[in-house]
Amino acid sequence: MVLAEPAPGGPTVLADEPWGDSAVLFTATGGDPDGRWRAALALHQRMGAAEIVGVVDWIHAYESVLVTFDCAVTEGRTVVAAVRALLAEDAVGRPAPAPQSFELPVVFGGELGPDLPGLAAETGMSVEALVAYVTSGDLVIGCVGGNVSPLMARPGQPFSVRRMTSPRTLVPAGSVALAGDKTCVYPVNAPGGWRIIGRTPVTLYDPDRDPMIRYAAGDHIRLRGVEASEWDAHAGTVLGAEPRAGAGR
Amino acid sequence: MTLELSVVGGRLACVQDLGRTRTRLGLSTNGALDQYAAAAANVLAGNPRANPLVEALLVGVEVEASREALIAVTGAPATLTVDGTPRPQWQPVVVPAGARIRVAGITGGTRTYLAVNGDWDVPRLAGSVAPDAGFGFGADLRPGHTIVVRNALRNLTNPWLGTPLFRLPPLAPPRPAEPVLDIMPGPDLDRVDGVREALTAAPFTVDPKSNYIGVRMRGELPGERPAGEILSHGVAVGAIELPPSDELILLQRGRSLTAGYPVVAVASRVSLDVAGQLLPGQSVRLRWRTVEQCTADHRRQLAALGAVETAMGSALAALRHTGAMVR
Repeated sequence: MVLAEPAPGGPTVLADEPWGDSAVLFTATGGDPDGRWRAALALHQRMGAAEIVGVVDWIHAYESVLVTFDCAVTEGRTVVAAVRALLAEDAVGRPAPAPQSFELPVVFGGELGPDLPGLAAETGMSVEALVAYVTSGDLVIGCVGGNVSPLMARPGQPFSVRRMTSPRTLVPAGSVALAGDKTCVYPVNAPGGWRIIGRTPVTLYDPDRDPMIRYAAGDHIRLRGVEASEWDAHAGTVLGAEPRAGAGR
Repeated sequence: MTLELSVVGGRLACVQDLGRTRTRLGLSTNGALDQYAAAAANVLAGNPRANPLVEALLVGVEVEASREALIAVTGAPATLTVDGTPRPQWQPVVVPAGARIRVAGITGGTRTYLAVNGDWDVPRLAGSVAPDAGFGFGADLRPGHTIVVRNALRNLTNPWLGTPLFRLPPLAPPRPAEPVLDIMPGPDLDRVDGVREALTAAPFTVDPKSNYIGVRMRGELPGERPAGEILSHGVAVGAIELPPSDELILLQRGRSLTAGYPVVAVASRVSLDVAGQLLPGQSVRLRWRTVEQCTADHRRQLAALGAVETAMGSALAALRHTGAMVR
């Protein structure tokens, strides 16, 4: 039941295609990237509030949701029908959850942000101007990637960032990094090729809590520059454990 | 009753379960690569299917049980001995207090599972004990490590237990020298000329670089790759990717959640357990099947497991009724 791809500029619709006996991929097609992101996000959020028989889990990416199910109790076409019924309910007006806002203290540059000077030079900005830019507006979490990494974008970011030609074998936990039009935070030590501009002393997840993270796709994160001397004051706190005043659902 | 399992030998073993269902929150699936064997071991030990258990990789493991215990060993063929006496795999086994349980000589596969009846008091991350490399969670079981198991059944040394109390249908799957993986068409199959035929024309060889993230399979593949970049999307466990190199990657439970390589096929649920037992250098064949066939295979396997679960439940209830067995 794959829908024909609509003409560019047309409405955004969700196409579905089977992935073997236990998964279906829903992909937003048509329209512009923002519309496709919103369509996939709406499905992700709606799935979180619904119980579809046999659905085990799903993976939310920028423009798609891969739904996995237990083929012992259901099958792909049943899952597709249930998901489409959910979306039809939405069409008659269910408000999307209000985004939460978080503030993330970041020590920019130096050893903790080794790529900051080079990136500033590439964008034609001074280091100070680049830091001023990245701390002057909210980043929107597009989706939560592997190892609970928030993958974020700032609407209208005036530059695109080249990845490293050879990825680092170890990017330290807390690193704030850019690639293309995206910004991410590495929650744990991991290899990676994004350009590192700083590091946060704040931990993104609480291993003793389930869910381990308090942020979700659609939420906003504002980076706030702090001095290295302030590191210890923030170290050990978990992002969102004490939301910024006035924030929260 | 609480019992302690003290690790006295082996390596490359860990505490494992069926994994996490938190990919929507950015956590990997992880868990036993042979899900059926792990679930079966727990069923045979009178546990819930997703109970924690020991996964022993290649080398084997040896533990000492402080009290009598109901255990089961499944997965790749291995030699199970209790105080030196051989005992059967894929069957419930009662071991006396102080017994040494040894799993060794794993052949024809990579993973063997050791289940022990009771509630395992072991650390969890997001609801599962499965190791997660990204978060540095989970650890190799080494000599000196102790696992506490609470509410274990006791008074198992009932006179009846000497006789074949548990009359159970066989659960062990066949293990041919050249295993077959059942596959279904992936979303990018028709974007690569000739790949549909190439996947089944000749066997593939399991590359030694295969791991918990993916099984790499070398063989004859078309040289062409689809043009254009694919926007990163979620990938299912079992997705078979065609990277630029001359190999296939069957994604396993430790995969990254998103990827952008063409997915030419998806392995069946049942075949994933077969893939989880593949040895480096082993020859493996792929076979096209329909979603309906693969679904039916999975349901058949689970029905057999369900029948054994029911039989075990009845046997344990009967023992409890005699007052012989208590927690």
